[in-house]
Parts: sequence; structure tokens; C-alpha cells
Amino acid sequence: MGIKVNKKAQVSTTITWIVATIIIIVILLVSMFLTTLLKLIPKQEVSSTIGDTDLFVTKSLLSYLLTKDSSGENIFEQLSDEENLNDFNGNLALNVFKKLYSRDYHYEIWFGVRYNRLGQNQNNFFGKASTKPGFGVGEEIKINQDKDIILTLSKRAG
Amino acid sequence: MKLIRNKKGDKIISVYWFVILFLVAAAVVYMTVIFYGTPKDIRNAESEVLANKIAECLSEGGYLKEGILEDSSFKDNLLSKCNINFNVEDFSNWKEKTQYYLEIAINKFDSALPKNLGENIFSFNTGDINLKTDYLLKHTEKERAGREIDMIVLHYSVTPSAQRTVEVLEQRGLSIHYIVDKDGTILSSFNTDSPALVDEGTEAGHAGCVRKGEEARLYCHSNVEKPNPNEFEQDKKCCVDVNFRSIGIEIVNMGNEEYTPEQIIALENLVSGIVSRYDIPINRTHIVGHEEVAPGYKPDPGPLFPWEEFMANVENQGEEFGLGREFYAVDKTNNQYIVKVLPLIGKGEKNGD
Repeated sequence: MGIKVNKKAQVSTTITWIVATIIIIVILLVSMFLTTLLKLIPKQEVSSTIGDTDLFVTKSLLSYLLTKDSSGENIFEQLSDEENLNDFNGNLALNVFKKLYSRDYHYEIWFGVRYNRLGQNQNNFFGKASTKPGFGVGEEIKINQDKDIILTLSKRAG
Repeated sequence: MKLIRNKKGDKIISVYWFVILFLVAAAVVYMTVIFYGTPKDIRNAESEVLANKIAECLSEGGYLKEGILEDSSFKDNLLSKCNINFNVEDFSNWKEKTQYYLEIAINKFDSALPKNLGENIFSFNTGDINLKTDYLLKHTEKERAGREIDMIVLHYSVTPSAQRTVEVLEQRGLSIHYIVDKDGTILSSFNTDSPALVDEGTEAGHAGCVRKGEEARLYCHSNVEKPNPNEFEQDKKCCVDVNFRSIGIEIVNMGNEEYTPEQIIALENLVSGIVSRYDIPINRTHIVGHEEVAPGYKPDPGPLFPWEEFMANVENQGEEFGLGREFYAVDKTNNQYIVKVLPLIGKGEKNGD
């Protein structure tokens, strides 16, 4: 007894295999192409600076706030008691933050007292703070409900 | 009914699967090699981690840690006190000594000085000092006042030491970007507080006018727009002024003596970093001697400078990365300081590479 072969079934099976093969090869080629494209994108330097912190700036700010004037009062106490920066702490802030960090954060460096109630960020030493947030780091220390000490250092416009 | 299996068909299917598996495996290997073939450069990140660790070690709660300045043994045991160990086993034959450089300086705070850097009261360094050149190249601007920097001019100092070179430049009202001493030490505006050393973002007065004559000198040093600012051509009215487009380097040498190997190695590191940063072509049109921009007028760096070897080595150098940071600190008696930390990580080449 001869074996009857269903040739139609064979054709459909073969087509399935061919299509599957083509799909696999296309996926591989696309993946290889994308990998090659990714390779061509210049690699950025890997940096450990995470988000909005800079340990050196934080250290400087803490030491700055602990610096005492000739009367023995430290700058944090002065900023808590007074309306804004005075000659002593304003000039020291300029020397510390601008001189030390303008190389790394050349877009904007602003230090001062922010009054939440009035919404004013301005003083005679750093001028008016930019209203647009820049790309860089920032420190914020709350003095009371209405008043914060703000330090922002930006590398570029946000 | 007897079921007859098509064994030939099974073989074909097996071969097909083998081919497909091979293709997939080959593609995965290809993509992995392409994507991860070049290692990511984490030297900058490592430098930052090291800098932060040192900063944490030296300052606590806003105050400079007690005993650092008073306790003479602190400096000797600084690395162990900061829980840092550079002396790892060199089991893979890495050039251990060239892997890192760490420099720490504590200066008195002096707001009258450009970087608040008063008298130095504490200094510490360990590792390969040649890596320091990385730092000097890292924190500089790509352009100077909107004009491209595309030239490096080498000079010799006709002085016996770097310190004397600074003095002479000051006396003559000249300036330079770097001075390479005979032991390979590089002086720059970063480590030397003198108007004679300026940073790369500032034009230095080192090779400005190459024609004699007061008229030419006045023209070149005035604010008049320079002729052919992007062309290295001599203008008949004036002179070739290369200051605005060049980095000037003084090499300490009396003019009639051999350059030391340490000097040449340090200079190669320095120049290779500069050309990398500014994309300056490595050829003798863009890396020149003073004698070439002032022919017949200036002789430096002279016939004893090993141009051929120097240029070949510059071409073979790679860019290095580094980081240096400062922070302000006070102690409990309200003395003010600036703490500088400069940690540098090397390229990590194996011996013989």
C-alpha cells in the first residue's frame, strides 16, 4: 500500500519555517544595527556626582555658617537674626562660593536668604537670584517658617 | 496502519536549528563585543569618590578635624587614618606606581588673594606626580574670548630654575601658561600665585610680536582687531601675533644644555592633554617653537630640543582625566582655611603595553 503524502500541508509547513527564519534574521540584523548605532554615540564620562549634591560645596557651606565674626556670633545666628546678608557674611560668601566654585559652576552662583512670605531672593552681594532653575546643585537650610538660607550653583541653564 | 517517520526530514530540521542557534549566538557575541568592547572611563568617578573620602576624613560637622595640623604623625599616617589603601597587590602586573596621585594642601584663608589661598600650612602628596598634568588640562575653557586655541608654542627659559623663570617673567612683564622644571615639575596658575602664570582661558604674553620696532609692538599689544585672526600669516603692517590663539610653555633650560628626560616626559604629558582638549592637530604647524613664529629673532627651544621623539610620543599619548576641588573650613577657634584635594587616577596600562 503506497503512502499518500499531503503536499499542501508540506507547503504550508515550509512557508512557516521560511517566514520564521526571515523574522529571526531580521530581528538579529535590526539588533546588530541598533547596537552599532549605540556604539557610535559618544560615551559620556561616568561621574559619581549624584543629582543635586556636591560634598565640597556642602562642607564649605557648613563651615561658612559656623564662621564667627569679631563679636563671636556665627553666620547662621546672624542670618537668623538679621533681615539679609551684612558686610561680613556677604563678602565672605562671595569669597568662598564665587572664588572657589565659579570654575565648576560658571552659569550662576547665588547665596542668600529667601523669604517665603515675600518671595524675594535678592541681596547686595549676589544680586537677584534667577527665577529659572539651572542645572547644578543646591543647598537649602530652613531658619524658620518664613525664612530659608539658599545656596544654588548652576553649570548651565535648566 | 504503520507510521513511517521521515528521518531525512528530521535531519534537515536539526541542521536548520543548529544554523539558527549559531546565527543567534554569533549575533549576541557580536553585539556584546561591539557594546562592551571599549571599557567605560570611570576614572573621573573614582577621583570624585576619593576626593569625597578625603574631604570626609579632614572635615567633620563643619569643622576641620582636630589634630590634623597639630599632630605631626597625622600626615605620616594620613592614608590609613582615612581608611585608604593604595598598596594593593600588583598581581596582574599593572603599573601600580602610575595608577594614582593624591595631593592635599591646607592653606590659611586669605580673601585678598585670587583663590583665597594664603600661607600653606599642610601639604601631602603621594603617587605619580606626572598625573598632575591631567588636572591642569581638565579645568580650562575650550576657547579664549570666543577665539579658537589651535597652537602650542614652546620656549626655553634661559634660567637655571622654574622659580627664577617666574621672577624673570614678572620683571619683564611677560606671562606664560606653564613652566616645566628640570625635574618634570609643572608650574601653572593652579599651583603658583604669580601674575606671570595665567590659566589657559587667559591670553599670555609670551610670543606676541615677532618683529622688532615700537610701531609693531604697539599695534600687536593694542586692542585693535588682529589681522587674519585665524590664519597663521604674517601681516606686513604688523607682526605675527600668536598669543591670542596659543598656549605658551616655558621649558627650564639655559639654551645650551640638553633637556632632561623628566622634562620631556612631563612636557609630552602636558602637550598631549592640551591637543586632546582643544583638538589641535599634532603636527609642526600647530606645535611650534618660538623660533618658528619669530624666525631670525628668537632661537628657542633650539637645536637641542628632541622634536622628532617628542612629536612621536605626543601622538601616542592618550587623554587623562583628573579632578581637583577645594572647600572652605574653619576650626573651633575660628581660624579659616582652604583645603585643596587633588586625586588623580591613571590610565591603568599594563607593563609593556
